[in-house]
Amino acid sequence: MRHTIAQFISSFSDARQLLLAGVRFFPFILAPLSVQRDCERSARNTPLAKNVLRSGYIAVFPSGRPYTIRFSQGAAAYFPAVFFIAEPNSNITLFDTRGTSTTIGEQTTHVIARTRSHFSCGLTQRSALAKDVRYTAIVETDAAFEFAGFLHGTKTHAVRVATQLAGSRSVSNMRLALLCSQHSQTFVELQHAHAGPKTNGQIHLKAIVRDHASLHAPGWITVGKRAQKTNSFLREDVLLLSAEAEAKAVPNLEILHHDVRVWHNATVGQFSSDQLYYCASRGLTLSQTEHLLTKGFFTDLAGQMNNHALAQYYRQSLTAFL
Amino acid sequence: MLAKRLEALRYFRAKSLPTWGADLSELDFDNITYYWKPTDQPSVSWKTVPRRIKKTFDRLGVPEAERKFLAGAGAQYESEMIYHHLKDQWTKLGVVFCDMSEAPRLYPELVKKYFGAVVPIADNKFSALNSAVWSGGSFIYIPKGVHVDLPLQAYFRINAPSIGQFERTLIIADEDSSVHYIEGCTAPLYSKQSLHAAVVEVIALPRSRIRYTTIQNWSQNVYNLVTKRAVAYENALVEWVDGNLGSRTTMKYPAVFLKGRGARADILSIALAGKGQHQDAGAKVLHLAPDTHSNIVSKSIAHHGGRTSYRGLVRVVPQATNCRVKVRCDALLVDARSRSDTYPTLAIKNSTARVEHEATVSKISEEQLFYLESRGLTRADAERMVVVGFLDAFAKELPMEYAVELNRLIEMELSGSVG
Repeated sequence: MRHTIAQFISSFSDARQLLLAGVRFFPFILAPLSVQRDCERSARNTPLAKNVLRSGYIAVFPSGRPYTIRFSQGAAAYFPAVFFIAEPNSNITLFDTRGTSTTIGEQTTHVIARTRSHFSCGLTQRSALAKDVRYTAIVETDAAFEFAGFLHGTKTHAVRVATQLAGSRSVSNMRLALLCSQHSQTFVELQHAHAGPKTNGQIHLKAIVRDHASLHAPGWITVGKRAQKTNSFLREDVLLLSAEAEAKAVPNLEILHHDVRVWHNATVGQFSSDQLYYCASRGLTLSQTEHLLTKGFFTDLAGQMNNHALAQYYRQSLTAFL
Repeated sequence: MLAKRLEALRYFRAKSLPTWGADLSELDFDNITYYWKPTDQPSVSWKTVPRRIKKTFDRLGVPEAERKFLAGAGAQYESEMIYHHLKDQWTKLGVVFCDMSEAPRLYPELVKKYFGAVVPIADNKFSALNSAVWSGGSFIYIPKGVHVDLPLQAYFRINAPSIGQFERTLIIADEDSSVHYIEGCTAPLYSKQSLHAAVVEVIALPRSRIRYTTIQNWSQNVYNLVTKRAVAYENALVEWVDGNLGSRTTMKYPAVFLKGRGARADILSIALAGKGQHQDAGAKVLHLAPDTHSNIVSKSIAHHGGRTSYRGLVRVVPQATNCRVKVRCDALLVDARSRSDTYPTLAIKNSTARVEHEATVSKISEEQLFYLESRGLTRADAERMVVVGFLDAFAKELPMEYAVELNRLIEMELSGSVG
């Protein structure tokens, strides 16, 4: 499906204000060469075909006052490749809400957080996910990237979020809540690649797998040879709520520098019998108890988010669904 | 046995090298001696043993006769009397402890039943190679209700090469019995051969307990590619205690298949990788029955540009209800040239399982060093003390003489890098 730049701009809920504020929108082929090069660099680690890259759209957010932006994609306005560039000292909070169409194929979003910029991104996708959702971020010196997602899948799909902490003192936090139900088969890959020194990364995945669903969740922390004083962790918590549900947690570490503090942990279990008993003794039915505990399990992630608006968006997404 | 060997050879030729794990591209199968007749004659001259190995013997205080034995330049006779005394005791209890090469002739029923039952010949390329060319190794059978109090050591089996290149070990503990088997030693073991591909099969029948302790310190020209696997039946316990100090490349993942209700597995391993070494070790536990428990602890130290990898698999099948799994991997990186990787896989297909995995990678903490330095230790001594303390959980599981030698060896190994 061929789109126009006008459709891309109108996918932002307050497009007019953004244009007035100096946000620049380009189709890839009409973007300045330096911007094109940055986008190509960002796409280098993804299997993005050249023709898809060239049909992509770019939004460049200038430095200045903080922006909170709502961006929504559905079957009618679906962009296989989107690039968000946060200029130095900018502060962007973007809420990416996906539609419920089943026709969406692969979709890649690239974020470039330039020096001292902050880019926070909230992703919500319900019912039927795009077949392959991919987020990548390059975080430059003193910049920060924060990702929070709530995804509910009922079909076969893959979600990949990868951040390259390229500049020194760059920070990346990923929090992802995942509810897998029915016969869905979900693949979730979360990755932090620490390339610059003194970088900080946190990954926390929480998943509930029920019905006949299955989850495969590899996670990666890689620390490069120049990434001294890296501080990074990867955590995967999975609850299996039915006898037929399956989960495979694979938290990997590859560490090439000794002056680091890196750890990961993974747990797979179910609701604690103490919690179930406590709720039952207060008169709650089993389904009410499960609903309450599910909400508590996921809401916990909001407390870990640094960006208040992002935490609020995440809570709202959760409440709307649960 | 010949038919099995020929079949295994066909599998070995058909299978390709693993595409994951350590780099095995320089392994030359045409440049390996696959069998030599065990004799009392030294296989290598003492003069040809590298100076580094001789120096380590000196510093460890290994006795003269043992040095030649460990270097492959002499045979060990001094402990013959002790061995015969112990052998008489064991024989009265019905315990079988002999060379694996003799076992098919002496105990054909047991060998026929259990040989290859745990590690099939087609399991992987190196188990196929071992099944085709194996020689030496230990065969142990512990009858029902017998508890062997003293650890059995391969070291005691005189006139048979206790540690060969392709040894095969088979241990069967019958119901309600227990045994502790120790192989290897902390002193460096020199070999001219470049490949060590052993297979160890352990069968723990209901309510039995088997502890298998290995310490390998091969010289740094050896590829150490070992398949170790155990099967534990109802309420049995299998413990692997595994120390990897030497060799150029190690790929070793002790495995336990928990087949009976209430079976347990404890795996404790350490890896020390120095210059040019890659220790790719780990653990594998399959929970195939309800109420099974496993506990995996892995500790690794990389120094002088060495690389350590933990590669693990925990699988819980749908019928294995109420399983408990705990995995802990700690890695210490001593210098900027070293590398540490962790590749665990937790595949859970039962909602009643409780699985925990935890891993950390760090350098020696400045707070600990500061504390020790403020008590008068030099920085080098403080660093060595922290490293030895890091491996304390492993050393505690070893017999005292092994633990003392292990600590000295680690201090020596690190003296170049942290000293």
